Amino acid sequence: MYNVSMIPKELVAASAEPLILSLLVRGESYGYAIIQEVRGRSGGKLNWTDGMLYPVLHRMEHRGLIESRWGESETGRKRKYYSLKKDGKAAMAKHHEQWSLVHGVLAGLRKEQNV
Amino acid sequence: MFELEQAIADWRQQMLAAGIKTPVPLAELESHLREEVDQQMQAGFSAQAAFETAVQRIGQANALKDEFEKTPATGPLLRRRYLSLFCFASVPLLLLVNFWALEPGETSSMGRFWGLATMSLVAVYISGLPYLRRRLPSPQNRLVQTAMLIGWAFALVWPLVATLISLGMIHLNLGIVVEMIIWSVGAAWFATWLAYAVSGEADTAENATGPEVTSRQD
Repeated sequence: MYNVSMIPKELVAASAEPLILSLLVRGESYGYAIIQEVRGRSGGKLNWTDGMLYPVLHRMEHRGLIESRWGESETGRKRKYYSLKKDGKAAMAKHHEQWSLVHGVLAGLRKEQNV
Repeated sequence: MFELEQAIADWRQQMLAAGIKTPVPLAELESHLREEVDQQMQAGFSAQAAFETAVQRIGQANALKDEFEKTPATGPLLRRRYLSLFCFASVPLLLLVNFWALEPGETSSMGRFWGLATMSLVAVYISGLPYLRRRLPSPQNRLVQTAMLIGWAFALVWPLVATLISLGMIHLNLGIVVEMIIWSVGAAWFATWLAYAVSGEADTAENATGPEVTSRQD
């Protein structure tokens, strides 16, 4: 059976931005929570090197997709919160459209093979 | 005896030595490190084990620095502001110069009409350009490419011709109306080129390589 855990590095990297945008559409969040959420939802298969998330977030912020603010956690610790901007929503819609297309093609081909 | 605060201070020094900037992004990375340490300790690990796991997960300082350096100094947001600034500053200037040059009495009423009509269209176009930027035809469009090429050729030649005319070195009497139309269209072309340049850089940023992330292979 196909081993889902063998996700190529390139695919993991390509999926980072749509995943971040899709998580932030629900409301603002911070780096640690984003990583935990992705790790949890993928059953640990999408396991980013934690620190590498931040350069991605910074690049997305520079591109005007997201914005950030410093806030405090429940325990008073400083945290940087990220939220989605209008351009980020548009980018997310574009990503969803493209990934759905790829998924649709793959699913169609797989269905044909199983007939 | 392991001192967590001392270990975090040493880790900070290592990050600084590798070139990770402070306060941001180092403060953000430290916040993450502390969250992970807390999480590990709540799961029952010792402070030392929690710290070592957190450091390992956050990644190597040099690799992080290389990734942070991929972020451009000026983002598309700032470049879009340059476009807006140019557009909003050039329109009043365009109106002022044209109204002054096309003063009644200096030009025929028909010439003045055409001059002002062109200028008004150009002024509306330039004012709306920051908002219409995304609706411009693709820069790969052959018509757009030809127009940009002609514009560049004209932009290089016209200032020289205008200088030679004003110095009386060549005699080319196009008339003030035609000259004003040329300047107005030139401003519209430059604003359009700037809009394409801003969009092009944004697209380049969008197509930048993804993050160096790793997938766990259980």
